Amino acid sequence: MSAAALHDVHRIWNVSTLQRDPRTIKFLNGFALLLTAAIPIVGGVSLVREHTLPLALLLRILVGIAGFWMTVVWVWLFVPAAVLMNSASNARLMPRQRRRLLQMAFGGWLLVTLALTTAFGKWPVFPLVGMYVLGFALMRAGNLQAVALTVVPGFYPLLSKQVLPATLVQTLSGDAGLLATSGLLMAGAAWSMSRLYPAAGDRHLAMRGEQLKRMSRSGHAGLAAPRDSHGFMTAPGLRLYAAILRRDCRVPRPARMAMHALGPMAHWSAWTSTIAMLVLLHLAGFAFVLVRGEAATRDFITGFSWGGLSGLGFMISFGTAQVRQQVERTRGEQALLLLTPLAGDKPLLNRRLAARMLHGALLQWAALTLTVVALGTLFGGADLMLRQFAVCCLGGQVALASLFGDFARTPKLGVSKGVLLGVLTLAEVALAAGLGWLSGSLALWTWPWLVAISVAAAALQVRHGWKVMLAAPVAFPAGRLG
Amino acid sequence: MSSPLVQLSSVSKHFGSQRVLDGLDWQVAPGQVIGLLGRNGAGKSTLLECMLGLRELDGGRVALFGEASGALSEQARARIGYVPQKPDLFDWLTPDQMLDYFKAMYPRWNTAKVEGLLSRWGFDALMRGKQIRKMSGGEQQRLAIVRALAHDPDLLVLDEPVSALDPVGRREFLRELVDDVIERGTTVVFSTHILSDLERVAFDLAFLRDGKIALQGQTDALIEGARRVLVPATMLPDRKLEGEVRRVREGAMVSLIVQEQGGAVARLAAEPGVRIEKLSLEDLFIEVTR
Repeated sequence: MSAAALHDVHRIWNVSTLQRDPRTIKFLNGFALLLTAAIPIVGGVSLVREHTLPLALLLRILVGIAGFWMTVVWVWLFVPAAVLMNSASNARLMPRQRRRLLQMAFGGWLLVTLALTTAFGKWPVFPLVGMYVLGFALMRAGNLQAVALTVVPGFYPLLSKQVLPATLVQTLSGDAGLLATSGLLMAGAAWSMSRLYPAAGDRHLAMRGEQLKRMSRSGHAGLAAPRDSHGFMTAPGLRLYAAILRRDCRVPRPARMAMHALGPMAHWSAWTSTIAMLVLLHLAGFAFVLVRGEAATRDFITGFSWGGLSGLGFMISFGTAQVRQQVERTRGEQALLLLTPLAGDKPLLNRRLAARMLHGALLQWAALTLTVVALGTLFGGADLMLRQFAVCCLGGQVALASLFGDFARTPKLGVSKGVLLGVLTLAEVALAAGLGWLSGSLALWTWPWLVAISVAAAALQVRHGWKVMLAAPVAFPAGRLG
Repeated sequence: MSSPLVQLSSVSKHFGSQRVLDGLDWQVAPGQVIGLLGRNGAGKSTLLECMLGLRELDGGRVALFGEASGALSEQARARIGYVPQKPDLFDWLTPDQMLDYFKAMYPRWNTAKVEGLLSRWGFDALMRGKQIRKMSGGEQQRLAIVRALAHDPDLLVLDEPVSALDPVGRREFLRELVDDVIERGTTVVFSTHILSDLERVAFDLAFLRDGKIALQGQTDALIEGARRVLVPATMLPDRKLEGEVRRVREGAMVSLIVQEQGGAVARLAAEPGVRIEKLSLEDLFIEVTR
């Protein structure tokens, strides 16, 4: 690479990544250093216990940490920022920029995939890791259909055992097969990048608006919050919301009407289709287990379901966090609402809003918990049910912690509060595990303790948050219009 | 003069180190129609938002209908119509859904007026079932205006209400404003950059500069009286002349902007070497807000 090309790469890297989000970079650097500091500890423990220094393992861990850092920086920051930089006019008029972006995007993908493959220590995983990283990056750039690329590697153990013919699996696992799939994947990645960073023209102009909208939905730092506030709501979900709105307009109650100013994504109906879809997915999985009842398949699907249902449990906090996002996105609507007679004065509006938000969060928690616990019981009996219930309680507690606040000054849930919530969650899990161990059985008692701790913490948080919200200036318009 | 419907006293507002409104005093009498002018970033929207109690003040007070704007009663709120600068609000709804929503929020709602405006402004059944986000900027702005007029407000605050409308749309809106709103005695405050509209509608003009109302007067009088007086610097007294808005030294000459020709200006005009030029509204805007 020539000096001029290196200069271009340096300039683009600075603009797209380092200068765009220095706080995240700093946080990632700190985190990676922390992880790196653990390597000598692992080495020391191994030296004391095994009297050997597993250099290869330590090197793999080091490469893995670097791979993790690169993955986050490349996928999370560089790929979407490069999409923003490659506007139709820039693609046509900026000398060399699109070419460099393509080279950097493809080079970044290859580097990340190689680093993670090295960390795994198994070359046959190269195509799976590559596919996963590519899917993740494309999704981050607003192409949600790329989720398929992230799902296939996760299901490969099942696919290779149950679906694909054994001879094909054997061929793919061989050197020639591996070479062929790797080559195909690299060609696919290059093609995807060229589609991701088009060279101006009608197609570029036609797709750009929608792409930016999809990227802004995922909260990309370089973009304003989207104006179409129904995000990923499906048509049936929107129809349900419209019916509820019609009913509320017929008999207007101030609190309900105030919540409508935040848009459908802040309404409980936003989650009905998602819940229904996940329930269907799990039921399909259950049916598959019934039909192909081998133990390995059942174990795989049950394990997968545990992960999936846990995710569903944590959707409680995700869904409630959406309310805070909507508070930030709908400031203009809130201003109009505040000027209407039905809005009520300041103490009334804050109280009504807090009550309605709590009502919505609890309703969502109840609906999701019921679904998760029922599906958990179906797959794994009472044991899985208890675990899922504990996860739901933890999710609900995190959700409630992020619900209330002084919207007039801080409409958004900040990074610092998000980190604090994460640390608190981990502390609660650790406390539950500790109490479970003290109670006699880590496996048996951790989950009931987690339920008890989450519920107690949630009650305290609601009490505190309620006080903060009522003492705060009138909530609307949030952040006083920015 | 009757007691003012809008009264701003020593209003200050700053964003960080930037002082947008700086001890601003302003009054709007009932039935008055005022066009608010100022350059981009002068603080017109901030002024209107502070006036409506949508932003907290850093100093001073605002009263609407005699009540503090930050704590308006339901009755006072029912008398206000507002068209914000961004018209794409409630964009997840259709026009019918949005209007139903606001109808439920107001005790008084003029359905006949809403239907009339929608039909005159081209909102057919198809359009009324289309999501607001899928409409053009002009259509969204028309809809925002319909919403603001629907409850027959006594005070109408419009923040650049016609910026996205084409000339036909602007003319229709202005006709509506004159025929219905102003004839009803509604007080109107609106900011705009389209000066020809102001000449057509606004009875009063207020120029916002450096966080204060730098000049206010009746449109006709301002246009009629505004002059640029080019006078040799030696002939001009140091003290400010009656009606003087600003003076700029240009070499040996001084360019003097006056809003009305008082005695001192008339005397200057008679002197040799003094030139007087009539100013258009655009010239006046440039001179006052510079």
